[in-house]
Amino acid sequence: MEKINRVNLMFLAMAFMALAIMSGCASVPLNTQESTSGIRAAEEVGAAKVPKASLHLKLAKEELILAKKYESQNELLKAKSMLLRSEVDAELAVALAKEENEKSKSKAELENVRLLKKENREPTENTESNN
Amino acid sequence: MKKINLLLLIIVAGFFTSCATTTPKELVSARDAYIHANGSIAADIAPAELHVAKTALDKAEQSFKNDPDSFEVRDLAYIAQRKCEIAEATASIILEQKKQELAKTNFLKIQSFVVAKTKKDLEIARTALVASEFNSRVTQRDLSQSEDALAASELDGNIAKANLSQTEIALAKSQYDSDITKKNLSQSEIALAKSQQDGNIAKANLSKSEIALAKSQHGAKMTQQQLEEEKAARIAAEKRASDAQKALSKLAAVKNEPRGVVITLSGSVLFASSKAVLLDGAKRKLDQVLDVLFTTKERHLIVEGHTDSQGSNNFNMDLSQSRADAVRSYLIEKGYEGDLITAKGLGESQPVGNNSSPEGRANNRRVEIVIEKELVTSN
Repeated sequence: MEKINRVNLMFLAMAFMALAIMSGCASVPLNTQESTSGIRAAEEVGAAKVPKASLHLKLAKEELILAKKYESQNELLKAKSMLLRSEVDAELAVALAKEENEKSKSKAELENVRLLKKENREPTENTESNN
Repeated sequence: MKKINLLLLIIVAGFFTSCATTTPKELVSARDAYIHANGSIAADIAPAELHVAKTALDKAEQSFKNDPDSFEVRDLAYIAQRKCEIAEATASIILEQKKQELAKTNFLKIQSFVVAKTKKDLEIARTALVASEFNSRVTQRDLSQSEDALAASELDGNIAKANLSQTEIALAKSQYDSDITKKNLSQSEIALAKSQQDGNIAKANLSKSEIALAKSQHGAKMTQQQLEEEKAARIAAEKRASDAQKALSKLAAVKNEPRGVVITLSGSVLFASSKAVLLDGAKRKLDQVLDVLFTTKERHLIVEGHTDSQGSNNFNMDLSQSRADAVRSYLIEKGYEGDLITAKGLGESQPVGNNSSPEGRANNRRVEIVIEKELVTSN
């Protein structure tokens, strides 16, 4: 009788722990900070003005909203997965915007070189990039 | 039968198996994206990012193996595709940054070259400037010397000019004196020649005077005799003139006017009415007048025809002119000098009587012969 009680007690304890773990996991809120930061960063680097980057910025925003929706529907795995999509789209938007900015800067630098050469008429150096 | 059943079983199993292993399009896209990224510059320039993409793709592949139908497979594949794209974008960013660096380096190199060249040019220009300044100083010194020399030369020139001017003045004066001397000499020569000529003339005149004196002494005797004769003749002529005037006054009306002695002959005596032909009686009267006139042969006569106011003015003018001409012609015919007679037709312009009465008109129809006082100096 005592042995049965012990087994029961252990079972109860384990069940309690499992319940506690499950309930703990279910109660952890969705961490949207990285996605939000990514979206803000993309906006700051001017992604909205670059067509390709703008598309991914929009996707990131939509995916963030969808993730929150899944969270509200208690579909946490879907929510987390969608949140990852949002984060990666925001990251891509930042990269594409930066790429465009750098291209503009390169163009400006090359133009400076061209003008300097033109002003001084000394084309002795190969100032063009080796594409 | 068993074989057929086995074949059907295998087909069905294969169908199910194939359905069960259908790869989601997200995974396919992710694989393609990775292949593309791995073949691009991202493999060399952004290997870390490409590695992250590979890890994500592996994760998606593992998920696909575990549960092909899971939404996680699609999401992980989506994430892997984006990571590939991020790797390529990162590589592109790095490449652009390298381009910028290269451009900046080239810019600096060119700038350095330009600066060096400018410095070199500046140095050359500075050297040239120094040389130029030196030359300028030398030139300035030379110029100063030249100016001094010029000033001295100008001074000398001025002195020379002044001397020249004085010399020229002296020369001009000398020339002027010379000209005057020449002129005087010439005048003297002319005067000498003239005086010689005058001397000759005077000699000739003297001879002539002597002859003339002799003649005049002889003539003086003669002149005195002639004077006495002429005086006697003049007295006789005056007497004749007086007699003639007296005789005239018997023949016709005679007046002494400022212009001379005017003899008035009545028109009715001389001409028929409206005619210019002298009547016989008129001729006899004119002959008597001529006898008197011949005593004053050298005097100028004016024959004036006058009419009364009967008839037109033009007719009277023509008639009076014709009558004057007729008288003049007769006098010339009788021997009076034609050059000394002038005929004038004055018409009715100078009446002496009233034309409204027959007596007045008779007096106005007349011919007047004017013996002018002054002698005609034909000779």
